[in-house]
Amino acid sequence: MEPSQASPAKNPSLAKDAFEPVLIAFVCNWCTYTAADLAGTSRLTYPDNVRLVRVMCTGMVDPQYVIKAFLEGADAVLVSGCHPGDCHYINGNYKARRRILLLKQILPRFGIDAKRLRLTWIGASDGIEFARTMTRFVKDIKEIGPCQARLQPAI
Amino acid sequence: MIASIQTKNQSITRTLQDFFSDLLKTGAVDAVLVPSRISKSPYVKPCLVTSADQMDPTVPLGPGFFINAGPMVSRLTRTRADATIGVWLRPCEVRAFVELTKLRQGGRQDVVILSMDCPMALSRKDYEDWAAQGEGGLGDVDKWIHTVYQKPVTQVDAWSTARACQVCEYPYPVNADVSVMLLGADLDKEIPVRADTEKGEKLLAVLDLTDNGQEPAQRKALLGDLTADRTAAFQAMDEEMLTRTGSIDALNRFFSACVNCHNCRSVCPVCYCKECVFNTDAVAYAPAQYLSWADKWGQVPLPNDTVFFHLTRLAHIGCTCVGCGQCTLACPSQIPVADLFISVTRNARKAFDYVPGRDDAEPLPLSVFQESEFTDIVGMGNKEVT
Ligand code: SF4
Ligand code: SF4
Ligand code: SF4
Repeated sequence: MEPSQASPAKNPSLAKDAFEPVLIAFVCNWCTYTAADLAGTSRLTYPDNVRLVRVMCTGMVDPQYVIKAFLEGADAVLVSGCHPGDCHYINGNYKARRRILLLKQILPRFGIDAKRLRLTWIGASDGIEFARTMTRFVKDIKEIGPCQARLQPAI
Repeated sequence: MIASIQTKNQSITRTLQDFFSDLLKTGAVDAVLVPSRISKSPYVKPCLVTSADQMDPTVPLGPGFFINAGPMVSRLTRTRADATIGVWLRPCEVRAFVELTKLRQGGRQDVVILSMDCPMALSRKDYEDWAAQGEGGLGDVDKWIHTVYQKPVTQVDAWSTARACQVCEYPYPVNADVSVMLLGADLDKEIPVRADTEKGEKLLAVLDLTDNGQEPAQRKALLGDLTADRTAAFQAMDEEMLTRTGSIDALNRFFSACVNCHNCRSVCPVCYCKECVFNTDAVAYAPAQYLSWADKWGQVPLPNDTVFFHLTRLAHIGCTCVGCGQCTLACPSQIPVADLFISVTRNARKAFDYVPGRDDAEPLPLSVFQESEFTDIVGMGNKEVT
């Protein structure tokens, strides 16, 4: 399509040299969210491209949340929860893993690179790991560039 | 056990109708579910018949396929009915029902599943043309039967079969109690019928059928040809879909005529929710939201969420689409919905080595897990699933 509707001119964050990706992270209340909190109180820094969405468990992240995030212009999506065996609800993270695997089969068919969707386990005490993961993810996505869905309305 | 049923009046339709009547008369079943004409129109729907002399309107085999009966069997078995129901289903209907039983929407206890080498289906338009050319408001069913069971075809006279049928993975019965083996049979003479389960054996025994038949000599070879043809046709369709929907922009264009009627979901036998999320307040946005979208994108179509709906549905039924083609048939905008859904899901489910309806004992991939599996998709590494 014509790049008229969401052009770099209208949206300066899309200009190539100044590309600031938008990352949506679905983080579980018990582990990764707590780790994010810890990173904050420990004054660790990570890029502000990441928007956290706190969920009770990665097991409740329906594929539609991930899809909607991409269609609304996210350049990448992270789903992050407790390490295997640590899930507050026993096995939500294992279920999340299968859903992410399925999405990684489906989304690339429509030009959304599988690398834009990540699943990590970050425990409640892993504040440093959290900050590092976010930094790494933002760097990776800056290299890949903007997601095509962001450049046009995914109606 | 394989029994042989003698063909009557050179009509397969008559022979099968009598077979169903016999099932009722002998008390082998209390009811049969079989496609039947509604008020002499050409359209057929699965109908429940309890009386042996009410078989005339039924059309057991033909190119009309406008409802996948899998969910209808699920309705009939939601609770125990205190009756035995013989259900005559196409292979993709059986497989849909099997998927629904895994979701605990129905059970096999009270049904005997009778299935057949599939007669394929026509698109709605072609079906109407085909019906109009025949007598009494219906096309020549017996001619259809004779053509499609002699060799693999995609075209019968002027009519092409539905694309879902042309790429069908299982044009023969899987998971049935009784399989009717029509491919390659000498249909003027007999129909070979095989019992695949104990229930099936019992049913044939009640009818006094004996183990005097055999699989048609040509059937295996014909099934091989069919499978080869359809695998090649699937690959061509898959490539076409990759070209036509390989980006979000292309996907937008593919669905640009979609009016969000959600018919494709209503008829889908494996879209299982009692209430779809797209009927809930989750998608009832505030007016300001629409204005903000318009501002962001330059325009926002109303109704919106078209691609969101289709991608979500793809993810929800990513392992269970049985490829019946009903979504295409139901689409008022003539979007080849099934072509896309079949292509995407048949590839996606490979990650779980799952085939819907193949095996009762195979659990739904998204309902189970193992502690140690798919570990390579976790983390920030660059290793990607292929
Ligand atoms: S998505 Fe279409 S082809 Fe697949 S099961 Fe549903 S109706 Fe049938
Ligand atoms: S689209 Fe998803 S939520 Fe809607 S009925 Fe189908 S499976 Fe259920
Ligand atoms: S049936 Fe066709 S028009 Fe209706 S929602 Fe599905 S794709 Fe869109």
